[in-house]
Amino acid sequence: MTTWVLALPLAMIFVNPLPFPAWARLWMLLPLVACVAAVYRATRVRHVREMPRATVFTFINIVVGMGLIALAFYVVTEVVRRWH
Amino acid sequence: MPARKSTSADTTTRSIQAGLAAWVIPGAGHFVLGHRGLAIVFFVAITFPYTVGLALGGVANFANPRVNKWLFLAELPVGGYTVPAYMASRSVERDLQRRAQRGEEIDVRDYYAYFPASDVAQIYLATAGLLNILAILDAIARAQTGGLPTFHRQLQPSAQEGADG
Repeated sequence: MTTWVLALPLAMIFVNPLPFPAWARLWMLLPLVACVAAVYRATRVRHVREMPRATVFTFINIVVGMGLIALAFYVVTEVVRRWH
Repeated sequence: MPARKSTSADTTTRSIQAGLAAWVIPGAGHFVLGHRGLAIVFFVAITFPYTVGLALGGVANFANPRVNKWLFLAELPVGGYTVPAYMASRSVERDLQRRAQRGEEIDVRDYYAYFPASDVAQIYLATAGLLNILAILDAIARAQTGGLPTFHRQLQPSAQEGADG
């Protein structure tokens, strides 16, 4: 039962975790947001040709929204740090 | 009347087929229904985060319900990927146990991801699973409405007319 799964080349790619630099953590947001925007938009269109512009708009919306939320949390953190 | 029954049965069968296909492979539900373009979008946009998440985290911890049952539950909507990943996870687990019993030295960092990779892997995998729920529901909705998306009530009137015609 065990070795045949390990013998699959596709499975082997996932056995040993890939190295991941700490600086890349924040940048990993962008591809994930692109995927979320694409799937979300795909559930709202009749044809795929309606997608590109709407997906870009949703992508920008999410990134800007996340940035604003991060900024708000940063401001709150700074205020709390200075007052205590 | 019999024709109507047959149509309803066809719709139900198509919905089940599309839902199951979408569960096995993201986008396959739309492919079955003939929406090839959307199928490619769903396939790429769901397979990419799943693959990246699993590659960063490794199957040993990130497709294992005994380690993180909630993550496994979130991954389950991508059944066609999660089931083989779980089997691979079991294989790795048994292999590590056997090697430990033989007294071999094992560096766990070769098999388990740690912060920050583990965080990113978890977020990517869970998001891929949840996105495929949307894909499954959309495939079922399109099977039932003859091609209209999940949120077809919010479509522009012109698009609605086009769909009805």
